[in-house]
Amino acid sequence: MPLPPGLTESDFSDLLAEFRQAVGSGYVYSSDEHLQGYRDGVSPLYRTDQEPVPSAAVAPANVEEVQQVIQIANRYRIPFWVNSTGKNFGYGGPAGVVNGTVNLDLKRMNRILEVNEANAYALVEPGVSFFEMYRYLRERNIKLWLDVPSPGWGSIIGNTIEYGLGYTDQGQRVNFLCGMEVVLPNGEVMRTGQGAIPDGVSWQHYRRSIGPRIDELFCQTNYGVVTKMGIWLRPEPPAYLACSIMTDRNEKIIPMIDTMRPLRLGGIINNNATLYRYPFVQEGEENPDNPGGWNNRVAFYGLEGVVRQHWEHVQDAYNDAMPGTTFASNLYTTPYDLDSLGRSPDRLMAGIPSLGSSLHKTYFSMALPFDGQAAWDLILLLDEASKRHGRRYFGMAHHVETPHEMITTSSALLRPGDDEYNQTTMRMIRDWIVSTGEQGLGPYRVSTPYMDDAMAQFSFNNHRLLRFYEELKDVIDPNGIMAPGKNGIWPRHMRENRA
Amino acid sequence: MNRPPIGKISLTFVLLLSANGAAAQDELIERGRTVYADWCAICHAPGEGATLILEERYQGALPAVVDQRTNLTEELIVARVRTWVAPQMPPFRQSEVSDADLEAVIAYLKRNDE
Repeated sequence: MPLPPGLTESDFSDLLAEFRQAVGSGYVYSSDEHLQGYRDGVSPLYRTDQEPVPSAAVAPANVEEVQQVIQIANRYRIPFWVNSTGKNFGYGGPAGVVNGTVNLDLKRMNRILEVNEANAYALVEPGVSFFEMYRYLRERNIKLWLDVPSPGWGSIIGNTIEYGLGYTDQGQRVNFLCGMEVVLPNGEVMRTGQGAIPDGVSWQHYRRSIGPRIDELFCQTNYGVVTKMGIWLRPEPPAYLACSIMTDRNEKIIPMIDTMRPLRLGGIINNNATLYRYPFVQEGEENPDNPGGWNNRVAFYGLEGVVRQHWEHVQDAYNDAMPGTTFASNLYTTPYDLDSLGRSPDRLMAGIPSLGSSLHKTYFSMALPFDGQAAWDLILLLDEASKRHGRRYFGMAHHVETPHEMITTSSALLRPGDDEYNQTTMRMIRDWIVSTGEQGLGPYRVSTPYMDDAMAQFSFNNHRLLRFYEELKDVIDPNGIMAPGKNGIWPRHMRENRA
Repeated sequence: MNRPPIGKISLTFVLLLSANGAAAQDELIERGRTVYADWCAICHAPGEGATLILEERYQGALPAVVDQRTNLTEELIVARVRTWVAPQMPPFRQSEVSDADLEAVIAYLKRNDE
């Protein structure tokens, strides 16, 4: 494995000894075998000479140990990359951008510190996965639902601060984040919002302090290690209606989205509704020329009579706009037998974690206006860009996370060990990023190899936004140790590394 | 001095050791069952993703549910848990499945070996 940048073998040995002293000898990993899990095996760069490989991993058990690790990293001026728990498939896995980065593994910090059923919130550490929280709630018969992504072995904190999406009416989960504890790059501990008051009693109730709410400074950035986070949950609804709205042709995505928009804006549809290609065809065979169609998955939560009425209204709206649309629905009421859902797709909209991720894809996701024509134009644009690389476009899912925009998740296949194929995939994704940027569209989330390309699209006024981010970086993290290159934000001494 | 016969002591000692060993092994298997439920069954329980893939691959020649297998070697289990296995299974880190947990999973998966 490589050394951290600028360190000799002897320095590295001293560094590991200091880490062992801080967290215990059993929680510092530097062997090839133990570092395999800190590499991104779902990267087009995996096992190539360009792959950023970690030099070591350190797993602290508490915030004091995180502070010590960060202080050591500052003394040695070595880069580290934070990994809470889970796999982060398709978005870079646990690996950093810089070769020789030390991985700060927070899985051992896995306490559920509080669940308040009356006020519907939880306070968790970064090692707590969605599965663990789900089990905790069910085992104690706590009647709260948790918004979950797919798959559910990820960290509640990690996924939320990467702007991960769920499927319920709390699907834009970052907006249900309430209060953080952060270890800053100088090792100091800060609490946000009402947590800044010693023993503040409203930490998980009110999201601000006096002045700006800064939690999102720690989302998709490299300004601090989040060691605690409050998350709002939702009370178990008296009824849950899971529904599918299906069309038979690809281009009908235009009226489908435009029909949904006023329903979403008007509060009839409230969940993070998704649109998937349907019926599914094999990856690689799917392209805009395939007739295909769409399945729009929506959910309603509330009183049984109300959810039934909303669903009838939605069906009427689609029947008027798109005759021939087909519908399906399943009604669940209290007392719920959630285990009876089995592998049903209804699980996710009820906040039941599962594993739905497929490996050997790399993701490129972007924000899009809530507009049917914009969605269709994007499909055609990405297909044209794909053809330039001998591929066709597939793998589109739309997440209607708010009434005003959609997140589109695009993916491209990788072939383990086939460097030529994977290099083509990388070139194609860079082409996607530039082509969509030229149309005024920007990424929502990308994998590590494309972070600089993604940030480069936000170039208004000579990249003023990025320069602002990096001015902050220089102040908050003057030694530039924390996740250099994360989403294109580089510390001063490494800016020549920018792709 | 009242000494029991040496042979009798030895036999008792061996039986005790054996009973302790069996209890320890049972405990290890139970721990492995828990680790398996926490980390492996997510994909490898009946009807879950990895099981469906293995059903397709084995076509009935082997059990697709991993904890129903009786011929898994320790080397294979370690390799599957600790390294990237193309095309589907990611490795698990020490912080997720420790070496002690892995030893327990091995004991659990080999409990019914022929």
